[in-house]
Amino acid sequence: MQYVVGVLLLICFFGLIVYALKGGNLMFGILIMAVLWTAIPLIGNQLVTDPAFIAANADVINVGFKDTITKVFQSSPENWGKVLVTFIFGAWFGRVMLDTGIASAIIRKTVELGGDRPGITAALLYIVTAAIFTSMFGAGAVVAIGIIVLPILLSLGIPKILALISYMLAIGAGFYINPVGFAQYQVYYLDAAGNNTVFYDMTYLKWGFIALGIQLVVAVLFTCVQLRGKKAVHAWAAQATMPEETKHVPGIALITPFVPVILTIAFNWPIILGFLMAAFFAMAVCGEMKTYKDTVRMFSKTFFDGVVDTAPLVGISALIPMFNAASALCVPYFQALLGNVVPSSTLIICIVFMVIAPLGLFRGPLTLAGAGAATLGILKSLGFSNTFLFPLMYAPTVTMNISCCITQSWIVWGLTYTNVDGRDFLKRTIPTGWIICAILAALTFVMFGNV
Amino acid sequence: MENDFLKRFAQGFSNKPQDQRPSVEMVAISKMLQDLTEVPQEAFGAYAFSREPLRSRIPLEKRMELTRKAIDCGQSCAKKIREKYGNLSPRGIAGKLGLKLKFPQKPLHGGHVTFAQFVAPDEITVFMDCVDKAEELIREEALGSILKKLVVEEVLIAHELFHYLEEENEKTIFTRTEKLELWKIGKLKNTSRIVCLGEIAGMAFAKELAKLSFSPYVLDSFFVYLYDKQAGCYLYHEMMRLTKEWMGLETKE
Repeated sequence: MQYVVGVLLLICFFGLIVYALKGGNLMFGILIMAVLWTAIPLIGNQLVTDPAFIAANADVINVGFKDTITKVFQSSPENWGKVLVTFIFGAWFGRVMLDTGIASAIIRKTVELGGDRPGITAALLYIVTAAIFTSMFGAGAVVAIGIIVLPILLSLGIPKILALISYMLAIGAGFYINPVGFAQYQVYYLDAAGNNTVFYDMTYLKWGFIALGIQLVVAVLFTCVQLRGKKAVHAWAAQATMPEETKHVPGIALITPFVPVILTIAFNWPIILGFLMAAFFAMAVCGEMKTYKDTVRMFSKTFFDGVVDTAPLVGISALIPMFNAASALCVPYFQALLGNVVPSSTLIICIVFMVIAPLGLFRGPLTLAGAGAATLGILKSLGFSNTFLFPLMYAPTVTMNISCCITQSWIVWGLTYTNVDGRDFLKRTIPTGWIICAILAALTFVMFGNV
Repeated sequence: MENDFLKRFAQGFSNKPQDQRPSVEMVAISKMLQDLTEVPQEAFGAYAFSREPLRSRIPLEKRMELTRKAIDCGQSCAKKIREKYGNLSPRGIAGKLGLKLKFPQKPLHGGHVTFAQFVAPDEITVFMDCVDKAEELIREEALGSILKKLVVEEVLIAHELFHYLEEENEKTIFTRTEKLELWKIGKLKNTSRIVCLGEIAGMAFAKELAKLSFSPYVLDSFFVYLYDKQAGCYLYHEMMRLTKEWMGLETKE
């Protein structure tokens, strides 16, 4: 009987993949999966008769109906509230960076350093973009920075497809150590009681910084190599979307994007305090706190805007803990069905991830921003540690999906803005992203293969 | 504020980047073009420099001086070409110079609308979707009386022709020899050309060669309007504001 239940659960898994690939609403898909992966094991628990299976999984099978549904549908999403608060403060900080003009000032200063040399200035801009996105996040920030960076790259004669791809890769590079991005996916690794099992600490950050470096180097090389031998391009073009007006930003303010991450990493301070300190520091040095009224106005406006920026994450992130808790109920059935099929070796799993990395595209089974939640559920049930699984799944999620896929909201914006054809974009991003993911899967094995 | 917040929060759930442009007063295309064609070409320096990545390193007086020099450069190049090729159209001149001309239909519009481009060493591309749309609107709205001698395609070719001349004469032409010192540490220094000077000179060159009574910069707003009326009006308001401020400062000078 346990095999029948296991097969039914797998059918649901493939159903979610097909649903995600067809562009179904992921929030609704996750909710349906949470319901199915709760209902099917609950029914299965009543029907299994194999004494050895029941004895081995008594802690899951013998939990009462009411306790189970309370855990899945009430306590798990309630506990996610902690992560939501991090989102909100992170988004508010991003808004402060934009509204004070710090983000655009950093980019201007970078261009003033490099001048009209396309390769050097582009490389500097990618480094700065990655640095900015170590603390900022969201489509609003990508657009706000993009309408400054992309026209500069185009005015230097860099072909728009190179400019767009490298800009998106640079954003993804920064995302590897972005505390808000981390929190967004940390939620997939909560235990059944809703507690964190992976942490934004040096265990992860060592891997995160290397991942950032690898993706950034690839972004820079991608432009520099493709620019070699390319001829100068001069385009008569106009920008329909306006860059924000230039504000005076003192030099000291330019350290702002690094403050939250430094406080967290170097002093182990809470990240929300880091965001608060960095944001008020930015507002103070940029002259936005001259009077009490100015301070309150800026604080309220940026906070409201920041909360709006979190909206796309709120819905799905509130439902994922339900799915996590439901997947814990499926563990005995997946182990029975797949325990001898799916390799239990971290080396083999890493090699498989190297080979099938493009399945992180199109919301496929390797991205946590898609059907990857189901894959993760299975891998967790087979006994792999979360410390190992987090970087393993994060690479295709960040690189393949967030940095390379045309289903990512801000990439859709970028394609429209620069008028780059989606197919041309994918022809270049798939091999590029694949290389990065393969390197990162190898790195994951080296760093966490024995954890 | 609360209503706006709720609306935007709800929109945020769509997970699409929101249009963050402020609302803009819509203007009839005829008024837009009438106003812009009356702006002297020097004043468009304000608009050109507003798109220049290095603008904050160049004081206002210097921007004005550079604009005048870039216009002179474009005009003198046009005169030399006229002396050599007589009344030949820009397209004809491009042909005589052995340049490859491409006229793809595929539109190149998005947030960043591309009308034409020059790829070194010898290729000019004019995106005909934009040209066709412009000519259609000129007919429909009877804009010919405002735009007078405008032949859209020829102006675009003329502008790109200037970039060809820039590449050919990069060691001597003003738009390439004028450099800005970005930083200096001991003997080590970094200088950069000012990208917008090539555009200002290119516009002056195209104006002269196509015998227009207005700056081709007018077409930026007009072309953007063809694809996005709101964005076109936004650009118009911005151009008018910038050029008025510039003219005011010039008068004071």
